[in-house]
Amino acid sequence: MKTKEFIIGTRSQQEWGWLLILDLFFNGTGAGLFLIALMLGSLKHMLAGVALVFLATIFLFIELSKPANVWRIVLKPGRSWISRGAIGIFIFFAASFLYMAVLSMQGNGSAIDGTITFGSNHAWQMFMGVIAGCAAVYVAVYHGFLLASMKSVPLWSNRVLPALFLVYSLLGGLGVLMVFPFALEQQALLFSFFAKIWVGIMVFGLLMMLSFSSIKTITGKVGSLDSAPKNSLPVGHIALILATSIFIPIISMLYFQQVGGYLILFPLSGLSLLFGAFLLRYSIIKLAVQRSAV
Amino acid sequence: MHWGMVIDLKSCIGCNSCVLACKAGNGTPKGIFWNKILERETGKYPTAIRQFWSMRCMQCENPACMEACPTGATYQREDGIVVIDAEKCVGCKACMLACPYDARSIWEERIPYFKEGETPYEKVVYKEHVVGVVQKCDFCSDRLDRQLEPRCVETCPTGTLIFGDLDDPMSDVSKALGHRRLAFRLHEELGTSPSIYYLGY
Repeated sequence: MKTKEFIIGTRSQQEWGWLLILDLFFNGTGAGLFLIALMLGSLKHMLAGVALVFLATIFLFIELSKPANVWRIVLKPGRSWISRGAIGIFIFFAASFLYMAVLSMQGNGSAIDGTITFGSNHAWQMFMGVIAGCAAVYVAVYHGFLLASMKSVPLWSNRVLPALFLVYSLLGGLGVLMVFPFALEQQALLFSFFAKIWVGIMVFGLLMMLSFSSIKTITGKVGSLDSAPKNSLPVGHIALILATSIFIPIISMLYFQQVGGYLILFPLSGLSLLFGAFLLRYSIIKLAVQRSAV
Repeated sequence: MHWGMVIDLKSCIGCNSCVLACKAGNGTPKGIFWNKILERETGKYPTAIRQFWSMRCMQCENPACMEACPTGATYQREDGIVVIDAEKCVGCKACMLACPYDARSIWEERIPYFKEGETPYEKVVYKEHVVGVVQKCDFCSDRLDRQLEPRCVETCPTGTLIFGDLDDPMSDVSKALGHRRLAFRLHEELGTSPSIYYLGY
């Protein structure tokens, strides 16, 4: 028995730990990678994205202390975000496998010029791609909704969280693509694609991080005597997340445009992005403080 | 019928009788407390006050834990008591995080109180608990079904804990709420609508 347990005050969140952090990271990165691969029309990267989401699901499964009951997890979609998330992941797996199967049967899953997905004349194929894409977006954001529904943790009770998770899923997906640039067949097109979207995503990510840090959440004063725990991440963590996920990749990409040398800068920027995306999840989970019961 | 409780903070002397009665009666495993007394000191000499807050599941009318539960293991009885079906719990701990009152615990490992191993008492009472499943106070629903008060209420030597039907204007709990000033509930801003009221200092 710890004496401190019986003193009124806030306490660090200890229910969810490393397994959930890994789940959040791989789930988001996988969904983001799938979305970007969908836009690029790269079957290999779509498959990698699905594999990452599957890996995340394994971590979530290990986290459960009664995994034999896991089938029950989809029974309450009307009220539980875990239920909704599990159903979304099932739909994502089904839709993405169906779409990838069609692509591979047509034998054109390796182009990245966009002609096989949104540029296709086959409306049904496009429809399947849209379903898979929507499911991937849902997979990327649902953890944000899940955490935001936890009333006991002021840091998580934040409206920006789902959008922040979506942006960092895309950044994580970009990170994976940048770490493995040779896996894509047409590097010039890849770079052209990045040039079109990365600045937008990163600026949006910057705005999301700033919003997340500044929004004031319910702090628990009415009928309660405690001072509420902090509802923002420490400045050092925010700075490190922004530096690794926004500034370092932007600076290195600008440098790459001027000087060349993408062989080194692409993977380094990618690793930096992945580190930032991981650190965001780590900070949100590990630094969360539960409000005092009184 | 809506079971509820009034806790008179001024009467509580922090003797922990309620905690022991709960532990003994419900046989909660090592490290798990379905109710507890939280302490706080406020003010400075010569007006310093030591406060004791008797805490347990608030049996909320809109339980955040029930919303978070993905399997339906947490549900509400008709009399307002929030209970857990151990057979359905998946052990995701979402309910523990959703609860703003820190009222839930999970029995993660079967560890006996003494290094010599489980006592005969532990062997008997642990049959009522399942490893890997979240647990909490249920107002001693087994006793309520037999027209008995919760163990903590029965044991309290100072009359701090007042229990009864909030829907019955003649019940002790309704009278306590009606006659006293300064009744409040914890974290009302979260919309959970607890069934436990506190009477202030």
